Amino acid sequence: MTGPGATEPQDMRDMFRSMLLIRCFEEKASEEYMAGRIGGFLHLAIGEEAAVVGTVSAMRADDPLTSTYREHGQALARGTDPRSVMAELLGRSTGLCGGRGGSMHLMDKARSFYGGYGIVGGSVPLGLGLAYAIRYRGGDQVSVTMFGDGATNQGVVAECFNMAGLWDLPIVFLILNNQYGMGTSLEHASAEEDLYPRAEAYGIPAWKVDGMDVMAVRGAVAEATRMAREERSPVCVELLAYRYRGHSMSDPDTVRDAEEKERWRLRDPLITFERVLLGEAVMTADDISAMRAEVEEQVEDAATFAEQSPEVPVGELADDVYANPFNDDARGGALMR
Amino acid sequence: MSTDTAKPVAYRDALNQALREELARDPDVFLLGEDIAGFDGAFKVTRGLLQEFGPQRVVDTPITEAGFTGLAIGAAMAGLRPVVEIMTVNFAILAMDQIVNNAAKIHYMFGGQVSVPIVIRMPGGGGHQLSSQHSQTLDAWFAHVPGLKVVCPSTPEDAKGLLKTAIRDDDPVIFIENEGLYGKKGPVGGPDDLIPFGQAVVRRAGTHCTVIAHSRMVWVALQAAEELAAQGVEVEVIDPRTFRPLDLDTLAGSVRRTGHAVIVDEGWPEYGISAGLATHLYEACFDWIDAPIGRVNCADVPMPYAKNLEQAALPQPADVVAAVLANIGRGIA
Amino acid sequence: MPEMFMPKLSDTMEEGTILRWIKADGDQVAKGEPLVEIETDKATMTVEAPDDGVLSIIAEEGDTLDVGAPIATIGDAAGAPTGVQSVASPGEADPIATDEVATGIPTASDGTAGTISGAGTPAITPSPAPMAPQHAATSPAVAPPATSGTRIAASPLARNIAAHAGLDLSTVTGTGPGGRIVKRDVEAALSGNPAAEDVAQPAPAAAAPPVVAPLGSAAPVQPVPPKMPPPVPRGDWPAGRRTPLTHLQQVISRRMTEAHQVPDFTLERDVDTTALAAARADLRVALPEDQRPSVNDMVVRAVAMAVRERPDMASRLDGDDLLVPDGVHVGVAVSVPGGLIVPVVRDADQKTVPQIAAEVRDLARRGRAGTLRPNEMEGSAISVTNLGMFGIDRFHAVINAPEPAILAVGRSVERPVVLDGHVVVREVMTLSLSVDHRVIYGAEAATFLGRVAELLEHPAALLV
Repeated sequence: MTGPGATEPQDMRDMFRSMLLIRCFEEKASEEYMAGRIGGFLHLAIGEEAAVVGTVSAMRADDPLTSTYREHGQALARGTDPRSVMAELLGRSTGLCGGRGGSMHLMDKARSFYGGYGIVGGSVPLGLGLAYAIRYRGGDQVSVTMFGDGATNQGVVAECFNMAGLWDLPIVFLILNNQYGMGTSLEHASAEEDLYPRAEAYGIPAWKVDGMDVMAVRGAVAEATRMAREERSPVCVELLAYRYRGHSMSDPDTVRDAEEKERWRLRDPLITFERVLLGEAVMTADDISAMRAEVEEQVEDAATFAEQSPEVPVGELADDVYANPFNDDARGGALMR
Repeated sequence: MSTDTAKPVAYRDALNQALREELARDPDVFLLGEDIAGFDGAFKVTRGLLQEFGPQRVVDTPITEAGFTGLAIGAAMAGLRPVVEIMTVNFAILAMDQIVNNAAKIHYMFGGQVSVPIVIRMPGGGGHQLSSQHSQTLDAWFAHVPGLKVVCPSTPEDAKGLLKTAIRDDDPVIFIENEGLYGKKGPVGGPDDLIPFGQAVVRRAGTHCTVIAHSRMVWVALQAAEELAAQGVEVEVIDPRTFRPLDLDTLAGSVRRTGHAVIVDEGWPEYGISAGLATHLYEACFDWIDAPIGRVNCADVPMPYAKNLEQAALPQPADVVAAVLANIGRGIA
Repeated sequence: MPEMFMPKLSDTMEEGTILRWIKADGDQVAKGEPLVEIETDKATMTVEAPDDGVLSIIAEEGDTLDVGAPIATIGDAAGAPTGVQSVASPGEADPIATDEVATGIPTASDGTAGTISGAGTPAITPSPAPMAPQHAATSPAVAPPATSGTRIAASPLARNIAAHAGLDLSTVTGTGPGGRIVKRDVEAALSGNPAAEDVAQPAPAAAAPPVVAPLGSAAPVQPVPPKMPPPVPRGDWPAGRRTPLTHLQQVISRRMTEAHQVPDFTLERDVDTTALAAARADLRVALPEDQRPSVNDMVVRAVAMAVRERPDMASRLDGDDLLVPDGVHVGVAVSVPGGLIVPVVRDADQKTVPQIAAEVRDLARRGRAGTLRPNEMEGSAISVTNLGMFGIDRFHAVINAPEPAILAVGRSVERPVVLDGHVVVREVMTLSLSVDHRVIYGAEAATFLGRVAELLEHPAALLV
């Protein structure tokens, strides 16, 4: 997808396909997890597809992106092969990160996706550093760093707002507010329910949009990246969204109110965007069925590929601890060899 | 400032030379930290560099250790070579999440897609009546972590040569200086004299006992060696210089010759550098040692303020002398 | 007359020594009771009574007799034998190791020898013996009671030197902290002089007598001269410390002399071990510690595979016949305190590298502890010996007769090598194959050694 600007019908079809792919991929990942083929944590972004795809569709391909650990969608939206994402989730040698990172730590540097990180708030300074490097080199990219409502309460995020405002770094802080930090609701965790004013306090232009509406997200992020690119200013966008699954696969999701979940279900970003596509005659129902079938096939293929991929050779355990290694023995620890 | 290698140069100025030379050599190198530009750095290591290289390359940060350390890691991921000054190691604790969870992990966790060529400089150590929160030696915290490289120079020559190597290295390097060494003078190398990581150096040769010490403790050990020599005891003082990587061969080779080892470490005794080195030496030299490995550490207390208490807590030459004599089975007169 | 004969307790045993009669002459003995300790060329064995009856001893303690020589009779109360009994077969013999001071053969003091009284302190503590906590060394007064003998506090270095010199640490007085035996004490014992400070005294302290104050002890301990037998000068030999050969050393001496009668020749060949090193590094990650192969384990595997392909390489001279033994059993030379033994990896061609690694490790450990069974040291078709770990590049080994061949393995080290017209650095190891020329000829030996080299240069082949 090319960056912001007028949204052509083809852009809309691409965005819808990307959202379908994420939804279908996440559901398949859930199956793989329950079948015991995926270990550890699995944080699904079902419900957040509009926020992810709207954001990525508004970015230029060379704009660096950083994310939290709920980032399968970011990789897929950036064009990473679903095969290598699924293989990474299964910990196989064909995985995006060679089975080292798993679900929480995907990175595709070739597509300027600088990774998913597992410490809440801890990735925000990295996005800021990418912005710093852009300015240092006189580039015109914009760093986009996505983090959740929970991260806004981490001190380091405030530190980053301050430095971005102080140094006018080309960064978009994207708060994906899904209203829950694990099981704790925003109103139990935050003194003020609007989060974007925290950035405003540091002189950063900021606003809030409906994160369930992919076109709204695209428009907001397009404007944010334009400002950051052309006016060399940091910007903050808060996307109000909702995830339909628990925090991770191990979360039974009993805390959230059933009525609340049902209310947000009605605003499922795929359903609402499908209505727009049909209403504006961008796609027909048959087109959508065909696209859905094609995406499902692609995801099945990814799962098959991952399941049939070889395990990572144990001999590679200690590879890549260092870029300039000094020994080849994981158990040799610090010793020079 | 002169780079005349014949003239003795203070440790802080040796570091300054390394930074200046590397800033001049590689436009991707830049410095950031608290009060390093306009104020020349809390210990004056960056004196004059703002004037020479400008505010783009020598950047004053807010007091925001986690934030600017993380920022530098992100910039390194983009291919720059930031050299971060954290004013003292005590404040690095605020940045530990960035150092341990990000800098040390990123190359491995993402399958080698990006490296993090960052240097984080900071002084550690006590001895200036700064009490508990400003007198810590935390070398072991960093040396524990795979993915980091840990360097602890003891002389101006090492400070310069190892810092230049650190800046050119593609991995995150934790470069731990010592507040008590900044004024120490000695010869330094030229612009092309790099000192490789993983090479211990014999500071004084001897046959009766190996004394392993790093950073400021090298000088404590050398003073003890003088006193021991007056009693007819010749110790071999070895400075590992880097802990990741560690040159065990040189340490173990010496211990195998002498049959005795005493480790002097300004850090705490429990689970620290001296404990780790002792384990390596027991494994490498078991059939060669003639006595249990001796250790001289900071007392196992938060550092007190009172001068007499602080001196009692820190390893002194007399402690090293006593440990060596006990180790080789000589009575303490 | 039903007699007990000197039993054959190993394949190479030709004679045995009666170490100790556990039962006295005239004692009533029951079948299966431990009767006599016999030292073979490889181990000390306890032989059980073959039947009930009254023991009548023929061979005295200390007698060395050929296999088959009568050593006792077992009869009824009136002195009449109860029936013809042969000796206990090796399979039934209880291979319990004994603590035996007099022989000098180091054996483990593992507590299992409790049925045999009189067990003393081991003359030489085998290196793998478990170390007591160091507080035993610094606080001898509270040393835990040992099941056999008193634990000697000695530094690892002192133990190491003593083991190599064959010095019994129980005869040495320690002057280290807490009375620990340290290097200077062992050196003093070996030189016959009392331990002296190995560090010159400072001038100011020179007037005072040397005082060694053990940590935590109130009274200084004065060094005392070690209890060593006085040197016995004889003939024109210079004075020195004299120790009788142990039985093991006698056996080695005799068999090496015999083996040297074999008309042998040696072939050498360099092997590129770069791939082997890489394979080992991989296996190190993949395998538990006790199965990680040494270079030598890989060589054992390669030799076994090559012998399986060419069984004639194991054919030996047996009278006027050539004997090709069944099974590819490979001997592995292991140095033990005061000698050398060659335990055998049975059917090594049928075993994986990790199995071989684990087995060799176990054999070596028990070999050093003196607890190998004789049948674990016999039947090898060919042997492998390795001095690479000592930095030796190449050497020619003496054939372990009656085997026809032995492979000597040097160290694996980086050397400049010309490859495709370029000088490159590769890891290289030199193999030296010594063969019995009466049964193996040059071309055969060369082909065999070439095959071993080929297997080692393609280590994946060793892992199938």
